[in-house]
Amino acid sequence: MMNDISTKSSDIGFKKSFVKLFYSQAMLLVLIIFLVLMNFVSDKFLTSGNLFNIIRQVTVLGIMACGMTIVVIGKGIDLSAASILALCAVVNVMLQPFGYITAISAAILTGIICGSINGYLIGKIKANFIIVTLGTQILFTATALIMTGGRNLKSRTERIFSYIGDESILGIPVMAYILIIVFIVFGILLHKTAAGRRLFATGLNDKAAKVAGINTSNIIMGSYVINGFIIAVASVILTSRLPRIRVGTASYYLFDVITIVVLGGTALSGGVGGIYKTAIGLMIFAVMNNGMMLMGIPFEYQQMIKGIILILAVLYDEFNRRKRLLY
Amino acid sequence: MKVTAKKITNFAIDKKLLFIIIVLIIVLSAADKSFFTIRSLTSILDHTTILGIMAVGMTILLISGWFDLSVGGVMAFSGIITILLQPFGLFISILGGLLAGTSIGALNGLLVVKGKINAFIVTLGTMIIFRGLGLGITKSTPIKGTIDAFQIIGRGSVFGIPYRVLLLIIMYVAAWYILKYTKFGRNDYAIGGNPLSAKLAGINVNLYAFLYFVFCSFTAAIAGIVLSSSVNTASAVFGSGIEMLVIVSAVLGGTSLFGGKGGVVGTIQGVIILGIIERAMVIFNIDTNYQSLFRGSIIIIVVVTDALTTRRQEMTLR
Repeated sequence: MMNDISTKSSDIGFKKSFVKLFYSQAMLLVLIIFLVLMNFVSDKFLTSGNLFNIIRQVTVLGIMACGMTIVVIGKGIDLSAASILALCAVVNVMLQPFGYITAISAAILTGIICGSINGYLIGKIKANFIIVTLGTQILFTATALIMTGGRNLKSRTERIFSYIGDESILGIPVMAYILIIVFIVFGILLHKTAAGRRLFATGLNDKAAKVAGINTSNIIMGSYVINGFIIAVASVILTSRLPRIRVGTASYYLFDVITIVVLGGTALSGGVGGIYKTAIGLMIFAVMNNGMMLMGIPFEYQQMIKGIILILAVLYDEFNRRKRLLY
Repeated sequence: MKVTAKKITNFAIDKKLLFIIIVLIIVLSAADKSFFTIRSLTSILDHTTILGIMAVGMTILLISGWFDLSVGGVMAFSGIITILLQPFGLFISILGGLLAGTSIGALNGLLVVKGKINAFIVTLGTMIIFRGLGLGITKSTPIKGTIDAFQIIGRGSVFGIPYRVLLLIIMYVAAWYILKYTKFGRNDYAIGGNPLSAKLAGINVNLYAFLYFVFCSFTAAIAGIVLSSSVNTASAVFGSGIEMLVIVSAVLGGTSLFGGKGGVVGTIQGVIILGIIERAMVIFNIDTNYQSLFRGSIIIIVVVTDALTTRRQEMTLR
């Protein structure tokens, strides 16, 4: 939003436009630096095997990050994302004996219902989004645990799941295509449709948006429903990739998804961000994650480093926003 | 006649938590003979001390309009530091634990106030960082304490009342006094009610917000020390998810998530209600998964009620 305003004045000099480019594309620069650094750290990094491995690792996170981006632009956050993922995966796996069409559609229905619950409580009743989604996080996880009885479930009984999970088209994993399609669809949805523009307006200033005639509570509710839907899609990928589903391990996904969205530069204050930024955030995260694994850093410290990077990213974003306002 | 009816309704709304507590106690005493004994009732208070101590700091922070998700992580981390420092003596270890927890609060406060970052993301980040650090330095295994005298805090009692319950009572009385009669407490309500007018009235909003964050972590550090003393162990996974219950007990007690109103008298009642419910779930032998289903529902109900009452009050103000 800020960029649009500043480009209007035509007398921006070369230096100014360069500085502006630097601040708006800083994360791309970070990504390139990371890529170069990783190349020096490990000679295994730039092999096609490793790169496809990275894609397989982050597809689920990337798809979830698209939904989270929409929610965050609407000045919200979904802390129940990982629980919805677990619940949808459980529904999917339990219904697989009835054929994959039943299983997948039931999972997607579950995701939409979960998203609607969040959306109704936050959009319509206007309850605090953090506490609501923390509460539904507990609810959905408990439901998933009750359904499974705490057991690990065997997934991938149908051939289509192992096809999504393992196969490649033209040497590129099937998952990569799905990821790219989701990003393109969400990019169009967010930046090229009226609903997307309304979401930006609502996130930036909900009172002004309301006065301008936007039904803000519907927009907010819609963002959570779409988020629930796309998490269900991610859960289908998850069940295709993993041979066994354990509810307890899903909680790590939540923090990673938020880190990806924030790393890209979508602001938690609402109304600023985009799918392109999330894509950059996803790539930085993927390279970082893979790098830490290649360097053999213990899991506990990996979490800690991710936490520090999250805080640095938000600090940088705040600093960056002030700078951008100057130019 | 009409006035008395209104008075009674107001009284009922005002003391609704007390009624809930009494009803819960009567119902549970009917269901279980052993429930209504002094021992059983003390043990409810005893089991909720950790939650109760953390809820003091959280209430004060919530009144000022901010909140803290890292309290569970702070609690676990200060417990770990206390146990780790025990070779240097009891006094130093407790001081170290308090200092470690409080400095996390200072970090939170600094990032939120000076860095102008969203409190939610800062405290989520510090929670992950310090839980990770705790897991790293304990190598993911619980560590045992070496000084026996340390266990007195968590296990000792005088006239049948555990020390930690006494500590809880002292903290609530102190917090009640602070909120009602000191500048620290009065400014809390002013800032939470309207930060801008508080600033215009000459209150150093940034300084006080920072102090509330520090105070919140300070109480979490005390809770961590009490907990690790009562089990003589510290682990980085202690109290995962407790931040939720801490916030809910404050909100249940009438402290609003939107800031500016509430108090510790309500919070202690909220803590007791949660304690009784936990106890009831044990008495009725409810499966742990259904327990968390129940807890999640309570959280949703509480937050929805908070939103609806706040909206109604805004309507009447207009």
